[in-house]
Amino acid sequence: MTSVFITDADKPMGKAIAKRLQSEGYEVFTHPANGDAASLKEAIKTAGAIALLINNAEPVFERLVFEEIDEITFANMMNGVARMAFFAVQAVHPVMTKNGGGKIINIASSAPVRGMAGGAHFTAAKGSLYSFTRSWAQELAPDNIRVNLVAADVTTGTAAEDGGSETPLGRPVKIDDIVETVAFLAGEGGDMISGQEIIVDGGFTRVGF
Amino acid sequence: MSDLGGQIALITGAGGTLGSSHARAIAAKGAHVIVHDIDEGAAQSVVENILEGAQGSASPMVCDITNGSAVKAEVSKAVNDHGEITILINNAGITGNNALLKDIDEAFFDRMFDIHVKGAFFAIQSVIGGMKSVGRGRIVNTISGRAHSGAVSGSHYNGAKGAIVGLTRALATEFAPFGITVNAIAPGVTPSGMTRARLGEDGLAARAKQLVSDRLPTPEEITSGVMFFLAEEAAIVTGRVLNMQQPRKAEVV
Repeated sequence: MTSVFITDADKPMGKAIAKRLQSEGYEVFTHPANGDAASLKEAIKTAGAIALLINNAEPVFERLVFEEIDEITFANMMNGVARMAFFAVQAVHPVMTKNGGGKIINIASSAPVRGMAGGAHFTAAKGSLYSFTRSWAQELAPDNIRVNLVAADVTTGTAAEDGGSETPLGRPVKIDDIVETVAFLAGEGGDMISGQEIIVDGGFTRVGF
Repeated sequence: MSDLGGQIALITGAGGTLGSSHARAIAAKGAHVIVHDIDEGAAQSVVENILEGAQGSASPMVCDITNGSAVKAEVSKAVNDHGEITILINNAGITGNNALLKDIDEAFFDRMFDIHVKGAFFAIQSVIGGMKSVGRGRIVNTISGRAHSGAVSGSHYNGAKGAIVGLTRALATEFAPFGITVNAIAPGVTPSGMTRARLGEDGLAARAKQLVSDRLPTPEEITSGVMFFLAEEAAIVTGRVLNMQQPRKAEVV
């Protein structure tokens, strides 16, 4: 059975992705809730032959005026998104290399592309995932590892909240839309795609950003 | 470029090559420049250089950019002495570009994100109240071409710079109603002390040969990008990155 490791698999997006990948025959692993880098590394070690890592990174996010984002809120956001993704990739890299390759999918948001008032910490954290994706795609390619990003404009911090409930395609983005994109990249369709970002937003981000 | 007379500018990491170049240019345009660095001697020497050349007015600020409360305390003192800060250049940074993923430990990762992302975030927070009260502000962040292009190493550095791209766009949206712009420059390889230490003289020369211009930029040429964002004429430019990374010869089709 092929293994997938999903961070924040207990959150809405994580659950939906896990359910879909299970139906495709993946065995799903995750980390303890609120885990630090050490427990994340340990969980990845015990999961065994991981072929797919989903850095789902669904942090607690509350819209805040910039001046009201304190150091703890900032640190929790950066740790829950950037730091967790970084050390998850570091931990799966030798596992995937040993098994002849793998795929990494970073779940982000369109916010770092279109901007967002009241979400500076969220946007900064998700912004790191864009550059991580471009970098890891290059650094890990010799080990046959593909790294891509899916910007999920669903749940919190979405374009819908910023007036995009009517996307150019006429309906809000659903979690299933993200799940389908992830499943595509995880499948054969994603075999020659690396270092790319797919913004699943019904066309919203292309309008005037 | 327009005159910056009467304005107060804070430049972080201004003891270094690029920061001191920004400081000299901004002081020469008439702003009072607060030269921040963690190294007191470096900050003092840039201040003296500006004052001795009678090229404007400057004062030092010495604190660790990763210590948010220290930055706020130092900014309060500076505002008391000189007035509200209306220009902030987030320039402080470190390198780590050669590090491989497997070799970046938690301490190195945290230092990279603390200096670049947390440092910029809370430096902005320390000046934003003043900018809002004045109804004017220019914030210029420093990223890297590597945030866009990625690289085969230094993913913690590249990721930290990507976070600042996100921060730049988020705050541009949030601060636009207050007459405050937020932009970023991406310098590319510059013969700074930081890059010289990483690549060496031979490495710098090899990089220069790869570029379409056959040479590295001068610090002053990178400063010209910052000066564009500060100009009165650039009031509508916000949320943008000026990528000053030169194309490589092989990239020109």
